[in-house]
Amino acid sequence: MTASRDPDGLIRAFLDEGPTDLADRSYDAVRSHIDRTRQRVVIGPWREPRMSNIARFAIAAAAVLVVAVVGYNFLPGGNGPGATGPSPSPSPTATPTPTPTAAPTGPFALLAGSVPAGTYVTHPFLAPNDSIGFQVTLPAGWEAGAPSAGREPVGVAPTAPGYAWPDGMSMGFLTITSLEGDPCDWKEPTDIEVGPTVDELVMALAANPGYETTVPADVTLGGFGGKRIDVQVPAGLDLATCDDGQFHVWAMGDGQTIYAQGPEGRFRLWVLDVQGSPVIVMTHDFPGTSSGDQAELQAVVDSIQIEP
Amino acid sequence: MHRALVDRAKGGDGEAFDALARTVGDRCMAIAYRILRDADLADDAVQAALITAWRELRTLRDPDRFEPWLHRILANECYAEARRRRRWSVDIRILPVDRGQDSDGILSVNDRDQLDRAFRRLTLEQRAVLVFRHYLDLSVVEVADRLGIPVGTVKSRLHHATAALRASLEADARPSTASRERLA
Repeated sequence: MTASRDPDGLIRAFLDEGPTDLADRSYDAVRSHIDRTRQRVVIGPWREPRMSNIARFAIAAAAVLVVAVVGYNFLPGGNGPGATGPSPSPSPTATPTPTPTAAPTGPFALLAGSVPAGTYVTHPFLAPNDSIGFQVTLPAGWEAGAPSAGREPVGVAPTAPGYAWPDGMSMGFLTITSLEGDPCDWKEPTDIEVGPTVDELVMALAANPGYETTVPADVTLGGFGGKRIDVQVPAGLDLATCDDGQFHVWAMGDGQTIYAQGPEGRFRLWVLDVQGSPVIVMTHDFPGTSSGDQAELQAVVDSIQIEP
Repeated sequence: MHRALVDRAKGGDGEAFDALARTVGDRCMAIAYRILRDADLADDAVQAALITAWRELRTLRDPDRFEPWLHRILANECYAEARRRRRWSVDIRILPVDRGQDSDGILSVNDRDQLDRAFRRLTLEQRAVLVFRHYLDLSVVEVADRLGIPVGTVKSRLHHATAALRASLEADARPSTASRERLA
């Protein structure tokens, strides 16, 4: 009886059996769901192991998807989108801040990639905030990251130690449209929409039980007033217990999301009122970030001038 | 083929994603069913996979890899769906067998039952490897790429799964006709 049986053939035949159609109601259910579900950009260099350090940095510094950082030229002599080389800032009245290292250059348009020490300008936001420019002075050994070939850089970080845990750091420019209700269980639709003012955003941050925050304090940065608040990944939280091992904190104006780059990551936010809208300067560091690096990061922040 | 739809969907176009889903959904259902051996679970897993794909679509760098990327999500959703269901039905060991297509009479009723029992004893990960290898007819390297596991792991799972199914067929060849009639 079994002499002519082909076990592998039988196994294949067995696997061939069964339904091969998804019901229309299932497609409809998916469609209904996606109409209510915002797309996320989950930023993660682990998904693209061939990416360069520059691209990896861009992901963390500004927490946006980086697609085309590699290949960008950086100043001086850059020829990336919107620039044919070192060019004066559109705001000639801006006053460069003393730099941590001697860099008597700029302001130049900031392009993605490694940048020499100097003063740069970037317009990181999409419309209607695309006119807002940030002038920043960077020491030697830093890199800028852009989310895509058509966008200007949205963040910066030192090449060493980099942006990630345990001792990295970065700085980015962003707007926030909603908060994760549960940053660890972020795949569940628990988004908290935030109001359009600085106070509403800061209050929502402080009220979120998903992380630890400092008491919001008045602050002025780049010529604009607002609030400063720190958001801290809870001490002892094992990120491995979070969805995809990530701790997502909020969504930005372009629908992308930001998440901590390691355990006990700290986000320091300057939530500034720029012509009635909250515009944010954010730094991200860790308990292992050295005090010297933190001072360098603070100097970069202090150099910021905002051009509304 | 899907590139234009993927690009539009990545830009937030729900209609494009709906069209994309309808081009790949049947194949996903076929895969999910064959891993889970339950149509309702498979349906839920496919829906979850498509929703996850929509949500994560902007992380897909190469639009031409949409389907392999989706299949990896689908496999993970199958594992998750089975584990979710297991929590609520720990005592239900034999799930209903849905039979859509027939195998043109190659399989006897008894072969099918033996294979079904043996298949359900496999781990979900072993089932997925079998399905990707033998149902989708992918190479071992392709299976590894699609499931995101090492080639050696694919070979190992494939070896154990295939051996278990073969053993079930060989064991089935030994019982008497009477025992088969008793099963029927």
